[in-house]
Amino acid sequence: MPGPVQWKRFNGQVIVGLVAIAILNSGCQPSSALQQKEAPVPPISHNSSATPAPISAPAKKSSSVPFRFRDATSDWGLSFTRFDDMRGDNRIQELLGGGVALVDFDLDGSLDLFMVQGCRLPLREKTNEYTNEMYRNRGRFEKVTEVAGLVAHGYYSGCEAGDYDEDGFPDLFLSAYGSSGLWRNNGDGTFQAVADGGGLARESWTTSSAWADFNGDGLLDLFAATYAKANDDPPMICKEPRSPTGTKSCSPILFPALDDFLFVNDGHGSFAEVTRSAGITGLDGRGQGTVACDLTGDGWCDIFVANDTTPSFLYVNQTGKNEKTQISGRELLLPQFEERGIEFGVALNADGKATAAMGVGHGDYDGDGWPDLFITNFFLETNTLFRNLGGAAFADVSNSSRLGPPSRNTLAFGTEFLDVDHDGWLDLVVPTGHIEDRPWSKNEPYRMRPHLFRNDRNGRFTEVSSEAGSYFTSEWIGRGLATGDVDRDGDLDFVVGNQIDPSLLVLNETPASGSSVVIKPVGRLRSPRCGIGTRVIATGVIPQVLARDIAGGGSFLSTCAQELHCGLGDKKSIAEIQLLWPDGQVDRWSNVQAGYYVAIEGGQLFRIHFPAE
Amino acid sequence: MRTIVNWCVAHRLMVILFVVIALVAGFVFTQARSDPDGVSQKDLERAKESFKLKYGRDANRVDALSWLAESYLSRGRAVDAIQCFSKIPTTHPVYGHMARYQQARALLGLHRAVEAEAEFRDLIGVEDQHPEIQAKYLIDARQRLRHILEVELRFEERQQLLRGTISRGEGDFFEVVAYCFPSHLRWNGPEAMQWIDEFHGADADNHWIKTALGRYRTGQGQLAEARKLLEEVVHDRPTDRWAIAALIACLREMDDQDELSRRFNALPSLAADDPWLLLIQRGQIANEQGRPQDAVAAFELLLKHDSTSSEAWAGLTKSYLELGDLPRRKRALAKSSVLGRLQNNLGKIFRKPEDPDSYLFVLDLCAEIDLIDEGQILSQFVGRLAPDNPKVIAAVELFRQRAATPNSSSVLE
Repeated sequence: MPGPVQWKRFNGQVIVGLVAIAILNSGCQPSSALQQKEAPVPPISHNSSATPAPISAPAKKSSSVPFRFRDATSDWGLSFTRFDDMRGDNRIQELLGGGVALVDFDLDGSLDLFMVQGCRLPLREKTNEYTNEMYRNRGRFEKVTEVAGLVAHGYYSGCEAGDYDEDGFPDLFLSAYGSSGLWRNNGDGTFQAVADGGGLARESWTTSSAWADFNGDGLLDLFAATYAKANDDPPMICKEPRSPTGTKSCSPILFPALDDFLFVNDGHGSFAEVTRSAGITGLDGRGQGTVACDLTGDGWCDIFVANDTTPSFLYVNQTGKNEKTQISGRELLLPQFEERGIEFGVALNADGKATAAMGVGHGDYDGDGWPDLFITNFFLETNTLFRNLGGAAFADVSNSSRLGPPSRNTLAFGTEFLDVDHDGWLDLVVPTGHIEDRPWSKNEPYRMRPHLFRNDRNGRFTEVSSEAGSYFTSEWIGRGLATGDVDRDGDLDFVVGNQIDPSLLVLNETPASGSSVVIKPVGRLRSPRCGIGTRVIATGVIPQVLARDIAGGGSFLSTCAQELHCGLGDKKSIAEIQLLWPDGQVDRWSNVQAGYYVAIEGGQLFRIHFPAE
Repeated sequence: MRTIVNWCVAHRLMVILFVVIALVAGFVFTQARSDPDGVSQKDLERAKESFKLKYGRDANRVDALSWLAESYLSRGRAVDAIQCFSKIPTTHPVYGHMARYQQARALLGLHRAVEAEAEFRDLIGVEDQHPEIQAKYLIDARQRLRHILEVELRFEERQQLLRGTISRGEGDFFEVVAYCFPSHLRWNGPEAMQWIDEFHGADADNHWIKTALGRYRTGQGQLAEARKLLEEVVHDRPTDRWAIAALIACLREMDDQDELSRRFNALPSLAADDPWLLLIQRGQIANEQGRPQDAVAAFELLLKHDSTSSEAWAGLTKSYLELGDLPRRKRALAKSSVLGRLQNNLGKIFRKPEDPDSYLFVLDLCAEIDLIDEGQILSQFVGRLAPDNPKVIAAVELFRQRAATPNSSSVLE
């Protein structure tokens, strides 16, 4: 049984313990901290017209290294199989699987792992057989669920980590079919279930969620997408004579969509629901993936919701236009959104069709400084890459990017961009797997091979799955996905939650073609401490600006590491980085050396050499 | 000497024996094998006997052919049945129409879509001159012809066929939905792919089938195979706009910009009878190339054929934005938004075609974006389904009134 988690307080604020041991400022100093939210700036300085800026001239990788990943599940002691009650009833609840969170819950500088569990259905028959699990990272994963106070039984869907109470320790919101809940991190290696979820708990079917500061008060608010109103007792049964069981899962269109939720943080450990008043009123959306980040470049955090078979939502943040109001004795801005998915071109694909939109990856794949969106879809649909055209609109570039056609014969949920080889360009990982076994349907397999795409640096991607190791050459039923530098060697690994099969830890063992820096921003004052909403812009490393964001939500039901990974190519340092905090402040640092894990807090930069390098 | 005589006798006997065997074999062959028309004489004779036993009169040749064909069908010998039916002329006063109908059905059962289509069209083509043809056979023939056109993705022809069906008040829920929202039903599902593969197996060289197969392969992500098929068709039929459109769509998925430009630049001018897929490609490519006015021309032409085309409305939102025509863009955005939700709601009709509520959702959306014709057709259909339902009655009346006063209640113009 592991002992209590070690952590330190530094100047009254929690600093990554590991980093605090080795404070190496090495001349890096912030040069300014001046931007005000009232005068928002676009993510970086560029033309904000709707015309897409040309992507850098084709520069097919001349020194491309082969992408290599290794299944390190057993080496690292990860042993988790999600239980979805698949006993032949084909309940729609069984199909979505569960999420994964990579989060440094004990602030020791290593990413720990939280796995989301299901249970027997109907819920009234649930037992204590299955529980969510927390694994502490001590060079390998050690199960600490019980000591951490995280044993919980229910049909949980997703996990979203965020430090809602600003004590420095990430807390967990668990979405669920049934009752969602909030677990507060006590800072001593344990968690406590918050009564009534601090106002977040709902008897519904919440799926992906996103912490973010939607109203600019420095505190994390929460958006929770919901799927549909579906009974589990008795479940809706849909006949399929060709199925061995005589049934199949029912189409989602038969289940009425539920309203999503938006909660505002009252600053006293509780939340107030402001869904309707905040304009979260999108119609007929069965939400699956969601991501919260500034997609429009106005400094406010927007929300994208991938909806199953109906138009996806883009809630554009209009909070800046609101008047302040009193909530729980605090004067704050009420979040205000306007649903503009159709207008921005992200609600439907290029053919004007709504897709099965499941997971959502976000990242600046084309190096123009604007975050783009990648949506996973159903079998025989193509996944959709929406290129951000300067914050004013998006273009469906699924064909020209070559990400669309290879996905025709796949079905995917979780996905995320990641710079596999540190060349500064975001590559893409897409676990795949059908919603159910359909032996009656020719060429429509249940298990599928995951996809890995290399960014060709010219707006296009090349599939490189077949060369990337056994995970990518085997077939799985993938669902949640979280990326992060699990082994702290400076590159991005990932954990994927499967259905039926055990979940997997897949380590990046790509021969480094370049160096990298992993930045952990720790917010102060009016920026959330966990760094959500923070953006880094690095210059002088590659031919164009490198921009990375820490978003709320993303992927599918999962939390990726809330860190900023910057591949530097053949450079050994970053000439300058700007850290754009959610409150509008900007820190600038020059000559940031590669090969370090860097925490930035309060105008100071703390770094530690990648131990595995 | 005696030996020589014996040898001669034996030789003669051998020859006689050979001739006898040949005659017997020839007789048996002619009895068992087809007659000059390809129908077994023996079976035909038996059919005559059977017919006489059943009806108490001698069967003429057509009686026997028809009787034999039915007998073959009942025994699963579709190929032989087709052979018999094919000998019966459509003009035969008693058996002609049924022979065409049965022959076409049997051909479709064997996935010989090209021949089946010809026979169905033959039957449908004479309905005006032959009111005695029972309606149920004509309805079924049209439904099966519609199925062939659907599998082969010939939506323009299907729309024409459905127009007649709807105007006669014959359409079932599928036909009503397919007619009102022709581009909103999924076409590349596993069942349709299986059908086209089987059609292709029976008629590998037919240009419609090859073109459709190329489109399905594109829809399956098998782009190299799709391209090969479509290039073959275009090579053989360089002016076939359906095949060219499908090839362009495939090249766009492949992002082969050079070949795409070459094919696109070689296209004839925009024409009113352009295939729908070609109009979509013209519009989308024009948008991509920064020619919004050309895109508008293509999309508006498409909307004349299919006013609910989501491709057209989505494309127009981009074109109007580029043109700075914000009122029209707003209208296109509203259409696009509702059409995005419509697809989902159409699925409810397919799952619960007897439930009026399934249709009412769709009718609400039609009202929202002024799809008056579609709303009228759909409301009249559900009016027949649930004539006493007050909500349905209200919907029928709403669309009747709005059709009578065009644009009076438009919220989008």
